[in-house]
Amino acid sequence: MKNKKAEEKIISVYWFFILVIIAGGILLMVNAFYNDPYDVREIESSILSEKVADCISSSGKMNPNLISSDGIFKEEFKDNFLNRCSLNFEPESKWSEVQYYSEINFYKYNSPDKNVFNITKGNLNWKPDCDLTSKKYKKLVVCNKKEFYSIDDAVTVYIVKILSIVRKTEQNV
Amino acid sequence: MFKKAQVADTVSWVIATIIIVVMLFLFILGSSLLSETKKITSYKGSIFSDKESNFYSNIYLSKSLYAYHNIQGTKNKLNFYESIHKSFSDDKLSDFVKRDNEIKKRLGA
Repeated sequence: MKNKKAEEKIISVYWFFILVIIAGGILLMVNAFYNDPYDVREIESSILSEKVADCISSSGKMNPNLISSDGIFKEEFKDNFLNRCSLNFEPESKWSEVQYYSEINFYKYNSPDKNVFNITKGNLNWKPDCDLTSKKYKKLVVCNKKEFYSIDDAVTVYIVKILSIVRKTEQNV
Repeated sequence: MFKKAQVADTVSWVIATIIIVVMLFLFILGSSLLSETKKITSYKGSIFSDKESNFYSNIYLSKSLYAYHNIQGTKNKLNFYESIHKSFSDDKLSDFVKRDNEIKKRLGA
């Protein structure tokens, strides 16, 4: 009788120990999963590309502020690209460097290898990171490349290539 | 005889504990691996929509198709249409045709 009581005590201590281990394990699991932030940079770079595309071309026609009716690209648009497209690349207080980069290249449809105009804004330092394929460096930046066709008033067809880069590694990874 | 039974009992408890600890370790490892895949790559147009939007992949196609329908000259147009189709070959052909028809309708072509 005495032996049975002692055995029951040992078993209940064992069960308590197991309970603590399982509870600790669940805590660790939840912590491991929810401690990492959501990486929204892919969608952020998509939004940036889409905003730029909307600013460059509307309903298939080039923005008249970007290109004149004679087919000449305006430097003023290039210089004030961020204002013209209502974009804000100013770094948040957390960072000292600009976390975005945007590049738009224009090619004529008939000569797709010759770049006729380009607009670049943001931090150029992030661009080489796009070419890094190693898994170790893959999380440095998120790059989004898009291209589409657009026409000017003289019905010249252009290929517009957009590259949008978002860094913000500390906030998303 | 009684001692042997006690040893067997203890061994089964020890094995059970080891199994529980190993399983917990695997689950922790799994959740930490899953946490690295927390990427948001698509979005819903609204919280009420049941389908994830493919708006981003198609906005460029729409712009290109609008450009296509705005140009004159049958020969250029034909080549241009092929180029658009080639550029957006990742999209499903049915989506391409559907979007093309939508734009045609809007332009009254």
